[in-house]
Amino acid sequence: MDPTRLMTQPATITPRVVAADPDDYNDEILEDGEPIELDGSSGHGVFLSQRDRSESGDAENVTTETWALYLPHDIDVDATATITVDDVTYEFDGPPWRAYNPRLRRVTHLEATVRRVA
Amino acid sequence: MSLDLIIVPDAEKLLVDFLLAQEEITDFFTSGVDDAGNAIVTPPEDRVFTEMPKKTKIFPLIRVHQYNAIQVTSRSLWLTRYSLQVDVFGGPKQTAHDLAVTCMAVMSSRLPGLHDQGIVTGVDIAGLRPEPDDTYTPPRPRTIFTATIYARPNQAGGS
Repeated sequence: MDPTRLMTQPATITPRVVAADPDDYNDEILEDGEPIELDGSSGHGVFLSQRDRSESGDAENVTTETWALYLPHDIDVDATATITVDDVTYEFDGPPWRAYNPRLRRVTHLEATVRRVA
Repeated sequence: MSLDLIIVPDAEKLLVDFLLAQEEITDFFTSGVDDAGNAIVTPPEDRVFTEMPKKTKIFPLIRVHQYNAIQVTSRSLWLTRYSLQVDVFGGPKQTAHDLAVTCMAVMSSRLPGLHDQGIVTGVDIAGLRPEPDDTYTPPRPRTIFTATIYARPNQAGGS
């Protein structure tokens, strides 16, 4: 499937960068980097497609959603980033895949799994 | 902080600070490789953590994890027995082993005493074993040992 024509939704990607100083345990602190705004026009948007949803039956009542995310190929993003679409924020679950189209002989888009727990 | 409160030591922080202050440990960090095995020209020499770095993993590195703490005196919240696991990641398997036994040596001989976090009154080391981390393919060399640390607050009023 070539999803590039479907990538029309505006979104904001927030990369996570390593803070200058670690915490008291010498552990890395990640903080929000410069947001990447995608306005949804001419290939600079995203497409979300839900893959899984569940709800715990206990008192915690936690809902979990897993989505497939398609985004432009020229975005520099890794597994620590978040993305906000329609005021809903999702966490990347693993590194994005640079999807190579063998017919066009180039990377056409990125594919990633994102999750939301609420 | 109120003077009548007894705050037990933070053993993870105590051990991280201690290991980072040992020259024999930081000597291992003068070289390093990234996830892909590429040599890092000037690696950071403070690679002792309680969580694996999410962005910049440079090996070898040490991860300290506290998995239990039990009060050992009848006077509650004073002398505490901490159980910790130390994961030492190579580098090669030899580096993981050598760094682990160096950690054991410095902890055994120098950890008892006064620290900013508290007073260590005893250290028991046990359970050295190679256990490659099979999250990676191929599994990454890792040597694990456990330590029991007895520590009390660094303040007046205890036994």
